[in-house]
Amino acid sequence: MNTPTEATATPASVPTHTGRDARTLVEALIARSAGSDADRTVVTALDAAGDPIESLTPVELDRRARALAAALRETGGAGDRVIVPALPGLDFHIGFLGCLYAGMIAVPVPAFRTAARGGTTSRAERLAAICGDCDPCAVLVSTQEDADEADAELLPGVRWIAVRQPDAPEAAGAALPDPVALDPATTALLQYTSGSTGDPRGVVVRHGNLVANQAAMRDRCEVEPTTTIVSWLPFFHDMGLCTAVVLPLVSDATTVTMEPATFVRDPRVWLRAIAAEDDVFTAAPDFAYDMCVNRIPAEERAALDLSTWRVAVNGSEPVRAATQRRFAEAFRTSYFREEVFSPGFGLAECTLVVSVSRSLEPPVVARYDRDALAEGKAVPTSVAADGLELVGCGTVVDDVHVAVADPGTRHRLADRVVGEIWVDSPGNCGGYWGRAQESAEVFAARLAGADEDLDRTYVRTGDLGFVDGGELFITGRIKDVLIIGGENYFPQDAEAVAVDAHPAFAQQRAAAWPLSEDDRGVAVVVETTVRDPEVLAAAVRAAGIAVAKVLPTAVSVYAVPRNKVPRTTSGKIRRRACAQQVLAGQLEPLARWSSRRTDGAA
Amino acid sequence: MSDMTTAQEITAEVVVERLRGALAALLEMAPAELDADVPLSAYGIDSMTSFVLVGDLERWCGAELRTEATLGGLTMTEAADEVMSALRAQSKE
Repeated sequence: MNTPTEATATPASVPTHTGRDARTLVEALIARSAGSDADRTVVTALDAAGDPIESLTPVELDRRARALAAALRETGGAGDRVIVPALPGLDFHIGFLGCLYAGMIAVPVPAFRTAARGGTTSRAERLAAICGDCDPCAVLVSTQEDADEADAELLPGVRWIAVRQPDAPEAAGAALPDPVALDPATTALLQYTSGSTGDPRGVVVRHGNLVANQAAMRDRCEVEPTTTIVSWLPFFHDMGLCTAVVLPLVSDATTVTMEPATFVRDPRVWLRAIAAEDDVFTAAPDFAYDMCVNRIPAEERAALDLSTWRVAVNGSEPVRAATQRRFAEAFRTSYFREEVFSPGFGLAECTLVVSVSRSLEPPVVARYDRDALAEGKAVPTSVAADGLELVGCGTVVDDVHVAVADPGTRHRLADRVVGEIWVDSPGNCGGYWGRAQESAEVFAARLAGADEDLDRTYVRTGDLGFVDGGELFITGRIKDVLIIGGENYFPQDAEAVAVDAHPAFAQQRAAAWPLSEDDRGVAVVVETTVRDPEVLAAAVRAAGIAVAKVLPTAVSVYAVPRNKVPRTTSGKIRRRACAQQVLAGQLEPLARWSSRRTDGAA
Repeated sequence: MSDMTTAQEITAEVVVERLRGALAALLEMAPAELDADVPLSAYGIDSMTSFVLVGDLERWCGAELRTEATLGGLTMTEAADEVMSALRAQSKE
């Protein structure tokens, strides 16, 4: 290594022609469109049958992003927010990058109906809540026809702008990208994470966050220019946006995308797209792997050759050892190996990834004593009946530091002690949009009494877990939050609608909680003074339906006598204690209703 | 064209029964266990799985349901209303 004799920094003016050294996404795309990769496809969209609809090279993507940016700048200025729905084909890629070229802040949201239509849907309500929070100047649609037909009343005061624009006039194009798009400190997007309409919280994600976080993902998973990322994830989700849009730009890799609906209609389309490429990286939540096993018959698996699949990140939901084993066994005939799974942990507040297992290393699965875990200690056990099987979420990626802290005293805890996971990372975002106080609490936490940590500020993840031998394990959530399909919901919502659903529950107390670690769904206990079995049967059904309308998951409702729901001395509902009592059979319900099969224990 | 003759025979009740059968098969549940007034999401049909049902319904009734429609948050009764309005819109064209 050379001795640094000169104090000069690396000259910034040397063109690198690669996204791997870029400091912003816009810089990455411009570099790539000027290099040897300029005419090699960067992204391809597949249709529902798995056939390509459209491919773009870096040069074409750059040109389309500039054209849109020029149109956007006629509506607003740098720093203004633009709603970017999960548009079909490559329209999201163009729309998102167009915002960034314009120096504007992209706000990815689920697709929604733009044409006039009576009635409201929860999706429209959620969109209205997000718009109320971030006050956008424009919303993107695919074509000018869509823009013309859009229902202006849906988003009053917001301009509808087509992603597909004629090429920018030279004068406008020359002024782009906006200089702020080359500054890592510039806000690139707001990532809304909550599924509850009452509480939209947009994480402020900067260019520097995106680049640092996904460069760390690239390095950990060895994503190379020869790698293809095959994704069906929704773009409005942090994992979809990061792995299908950001990761290819910072790694010079290629992306093949399809709509979530394509995967769900026929998971074979995803697996065939994987089989068609040479070196494949994917990311998906746990349920996706279950869906593949359930929906692809054994006799069809043998026709798939998945030997080119090198990294299958499993994240954004709790990772289940059973899911990975089952998938690996089912697709062994397709040359899939279990070490292709890279379980990981991450959250939008840290851009995405915090920890993820190395490419092609066998997953770490360990059994910890159930009773000891309940007391906050991770004690390995070899007795299957006593143990809870946990999947390690890897070690932290480069430049990330994790502390497990006592959420009350803020003291750092030792290895194998369960506490709240705190993260110090270049991916740590700038807070929640327009919520200074909450942002300071969540994004700028400091450990108490740790000298070596005086300068570190942490994101408090709200997740509970421990570190064992450098490996991060997640055991649950500190706050009472229900995570459904990767989105956060609050138990208060379920409790309120359950109580309002029937006169037998009016003015009573309720407690809602997730059914269990392995079982998706929510359970609600409601107190009542009614004893008539017929009335109670109607009441639990009405409450179940009402809860199911606000929480998109399986629902069980239990009616119990008054004053049976456990609470603290100050009267706060102890949801966890309530759940344990019901599971242990200590809280005998007067009536119960479940959307699940009656033979399924809830 | 054969779709049009089918469409005239389709009523909301018929759609509910069709949906009930498809859902029961997907979930491996008895059709009678499914309550037409419960949102499908409560049966484990998330917004994405619902595309399977949308696809099945589209093939069966010949009407194109709006692709951004997700049945997950709807009940069978509400989903049947969606299908009926799609069929009505189509027969007007």
